[in-house]
Amino acid sequence: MTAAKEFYFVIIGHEDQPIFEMDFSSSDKKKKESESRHLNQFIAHAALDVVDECALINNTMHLKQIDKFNEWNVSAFVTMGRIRFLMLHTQRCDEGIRQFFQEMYETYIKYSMNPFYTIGSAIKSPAFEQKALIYGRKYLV
Amino acid sequence: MSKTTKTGSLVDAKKMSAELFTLTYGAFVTQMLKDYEDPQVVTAKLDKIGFDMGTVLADDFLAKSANVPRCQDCKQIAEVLSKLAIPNYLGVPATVSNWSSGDREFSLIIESNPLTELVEIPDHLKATLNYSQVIAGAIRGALEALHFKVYAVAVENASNTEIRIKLDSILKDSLPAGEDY
Repeated sequence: MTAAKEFYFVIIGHEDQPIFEMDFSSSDKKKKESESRHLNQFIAHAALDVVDECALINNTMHLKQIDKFNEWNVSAFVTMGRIRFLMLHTQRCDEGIRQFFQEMYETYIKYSMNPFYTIGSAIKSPAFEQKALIYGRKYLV
Repeated sequence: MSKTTKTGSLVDAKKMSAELFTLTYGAFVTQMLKDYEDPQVVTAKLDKIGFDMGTVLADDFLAKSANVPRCQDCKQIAEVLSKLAIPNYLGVPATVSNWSSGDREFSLIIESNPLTELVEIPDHLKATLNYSQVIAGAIRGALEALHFKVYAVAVENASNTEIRIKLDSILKDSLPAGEDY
């Protein structure tokens, strides 16, 4: 039996604050969300230093897999505006994550052009969440 | 600033990027929200700005489209607004619908309103702020310059912008444009 595919996606702003978080899982979604989110946040936070280091030496925005903690792999994407996208995943899925990051990057750019949104504040838009969910289903789970 | 943009889109040589226009208007509205703190005041101000634009645009519009006949009733007003005026100045078409109160009230539906492109109005402002009220104000101003007194309100729907227009009265001929009774 293969382990369940699990993903935790977070967008992180300039002051290391989370802007947007979402879980994706191939098994029951709601249950997982409350169980392991604090651990996910911890792993993501721990990976930030590595992300920053990688971002300095790499010219590409997509940094691929950069860190590992127990069963969680960490992939990262740093936008031109230094907004960091992190993805924690239990199974390798490079191509899907790359496409997901790309789509989310576009969605994020569009959303940040909204005059009612200030850069770095938490994203609370249901439309944005919906899009993340759709792309998550399409490319990840 | 949005005034120059709108007239600019009429003259082909001076077209500007739709994105720049949207962002400019967005920054303008959000700054007003910060300054006045009351969304209702902002709506009123947008209406006033639109009104001032409209009184000027009416002349400009009639000078450029010489074969527009004098409108006799609301149906004709709606027709000219949706088929000529709005496409001319906003660059997108509008459709007429929802006639009521004996053909004195109608809605102009703008499907892809350039002002609201990329804009997501937060829930707590939805009830009090009419984001595109500047368009409604411009229509009110333009019609008032032509001696039709109307009420115009811009309502944001999920996928389009609805401008509700109600004809109140036809003003006396001698009254100068832009002044109330």
